[in-house]
Amino acid sequence: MHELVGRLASSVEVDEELEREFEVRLVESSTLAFRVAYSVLRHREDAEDVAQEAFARAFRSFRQLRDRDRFRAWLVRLTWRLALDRRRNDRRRETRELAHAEATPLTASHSVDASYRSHELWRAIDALPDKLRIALVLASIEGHDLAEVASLLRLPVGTVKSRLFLARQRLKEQLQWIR
Amino acid sequence: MDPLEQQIAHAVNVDPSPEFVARVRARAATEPVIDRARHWPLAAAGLAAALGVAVCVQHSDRERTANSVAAVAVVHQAPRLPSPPAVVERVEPARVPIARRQARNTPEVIVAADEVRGLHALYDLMRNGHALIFEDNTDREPIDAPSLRAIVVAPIQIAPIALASTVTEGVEQ
Repeated sequence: MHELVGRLASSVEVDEELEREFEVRLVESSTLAFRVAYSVLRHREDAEDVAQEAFARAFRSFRQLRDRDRFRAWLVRLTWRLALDRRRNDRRRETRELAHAEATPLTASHSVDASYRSHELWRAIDALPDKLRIALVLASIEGHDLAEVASLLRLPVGTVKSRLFLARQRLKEQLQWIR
Repeated sequence: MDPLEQQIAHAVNVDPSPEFVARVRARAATEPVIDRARHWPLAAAGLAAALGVAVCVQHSDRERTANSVAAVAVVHQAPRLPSPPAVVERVEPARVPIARRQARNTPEVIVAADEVRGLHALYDLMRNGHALIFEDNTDREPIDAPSLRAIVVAPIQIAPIALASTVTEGVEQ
């Protein structure tokens, strides 16, 4: 009996410690997850929903993800995948984007304003292959250097570097006419 | 920084709403933490159940195969043939259960399971008087069936192979 109580007490202590660790991860990685989701969905509420779902799943299996680097890499991959799924399934978004595209037809006299530039930039980013796209997005997030991106993607730095080079080259080719 | 990179950074670096972290915290509070170490009895029970089912399925499958292959019909004692002069290799049915084979002293004929069922059905019909068997020789020529005694297995004689001399064959260089 005494042993059982002791084991229960130690298990409660471990749970509390886990919750404290999760809180630290949540504070330091919430913006990262949100931005990853936003780069796919470009809709604030949807991106928050997806990031929240990713954190909930991370919490469920947090015992296996206590290492900081492992947690962040796992979170990025999961958020990216969830966001892609959400985008694929969201018919309303497609309708909305289609309506937007119809409302702003391309003509020679079209004024290249900031929103139009942004729209074209995202369209070019979306056209990139997944591997290049996620490397580009992660590298563009504030405070991320090559080593951080490599750690998040679990890839060698050289691979990340070449993917970034390719992604930027393709974007420059596609966006040349509006620059 | 390249203007394009600046543009991308500007597009990507959007901040979530101030309530976002609080909402995630509230959601996490409702989530159970999965602890694999605490769930091992459940996993072990599931594994044991799966193993049990697999063993049962395999056992019943084996029994079904044995029954279908080794359906045994007992026939009356066949007329004893004179022993053949040559050695004839006897082929044993592979999957007949040993216990059943030892229990019977009468000869066994291996018949396919569906044929056994058909024979049983015919036997039942005859026994109850629902079927009668007549010899149908109206349209056919009577078959000149040889009696079993007339079948003679000719002895096989194998002559030893003569050893060929390697010296006599070919041309010596």
